[in-house]
Amino acid sequence: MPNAFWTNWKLQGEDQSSITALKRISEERTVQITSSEESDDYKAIITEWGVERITKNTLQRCQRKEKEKSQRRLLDEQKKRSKDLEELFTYKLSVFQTDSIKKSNNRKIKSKIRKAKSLLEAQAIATILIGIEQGIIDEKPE
Amino acid sequence: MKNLSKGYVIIASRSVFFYKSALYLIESIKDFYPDAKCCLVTEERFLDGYETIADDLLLCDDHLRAKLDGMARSPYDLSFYIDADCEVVHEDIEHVFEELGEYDVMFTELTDDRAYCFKEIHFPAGKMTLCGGVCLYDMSRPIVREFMRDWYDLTVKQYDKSWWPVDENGQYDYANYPETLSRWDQFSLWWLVNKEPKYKNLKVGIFDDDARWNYYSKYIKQHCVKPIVIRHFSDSKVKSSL
Repeated sequence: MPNAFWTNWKLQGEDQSSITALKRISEERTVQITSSEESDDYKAIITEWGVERITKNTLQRCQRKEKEKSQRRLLDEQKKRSKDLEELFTYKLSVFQTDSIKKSNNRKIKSKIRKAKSLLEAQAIATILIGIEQGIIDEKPE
Repeated sequence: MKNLSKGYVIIASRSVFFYKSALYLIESIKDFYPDAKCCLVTEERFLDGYETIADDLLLCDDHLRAKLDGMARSPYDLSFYIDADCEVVHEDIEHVFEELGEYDVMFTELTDDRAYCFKEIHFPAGKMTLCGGVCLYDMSRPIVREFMRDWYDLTVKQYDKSWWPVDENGQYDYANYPETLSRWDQFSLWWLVNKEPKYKNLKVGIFDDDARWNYYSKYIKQHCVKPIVIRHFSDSKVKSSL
């Protein structure tokens, strides 16, 4: 029964009361089983693998799982960032279809909208420009 | 040393999204490089008065081939083509022309570690390595002018199925070159660069730290060292936003 590891090693602090391992149940089929201390499977795995080897395998598995988790987290963060960037780009394009912004000659503020790094920043600057164009806000002379 | 003209070529055909996005792209180039010369290639039906942001205007039709037609008609010696669904985010855009060096044409690369972002790179007879999202080329060199025209001509034939690589029986070789490749102008590019004897001496380069010149929004790993210069938003959701 290969790939044996302590099932609850991390969860319950180096616990050895349960083992998970692959068990071949027929020529074509292998299943993952979890066995507790009293079971025959548990005893058979201990005999075949030895405690030390199971512990080593468990530690390697924990490390691998940690690495996978951190990679997944990084990937999720990057996917979110990618989605945020697409939303920001879409927003900026749509802002420039708004009449008062489209027709504005205020190149300086329009450029700031394009260079905005977040949706909030782009929205805030766009709002200011609309305010200026509609005479609600006075733009101070440079 | 020749005094070569330099400019950016942006092509917007087929959908109003590309037109709006192209105008945005031109503005973003000028945000970082106010003296930049930009040529907009677009369809007459899209013109709304705002096209005057472009320094040069060329008209094209509404076919997929418009991109390569526009590239081949660039009014600048040193031309930098950028897909319309991009934005410029760094001042190095001004210095892109210095990247060409002794090369005739330059692209970014379709690498294996970025393959997750692209639909089709590998095929039984080879692998497309050049990405057509941006292209820097020197139209003052006759071989480049001819290459651009041939790329256009071959792509037109590829799209209308009047050309395809043939097998030993003279039949279209879909076993080695699956038909699905026919939608990519990068395939006709691959063919010309790898199989066309006329272009065996064409100097085709890849940008240093290439991803910064064509950074796809779908990239979920870090693919460049220096700051990103061009962001590319090829996602269909973005394209349906206007």
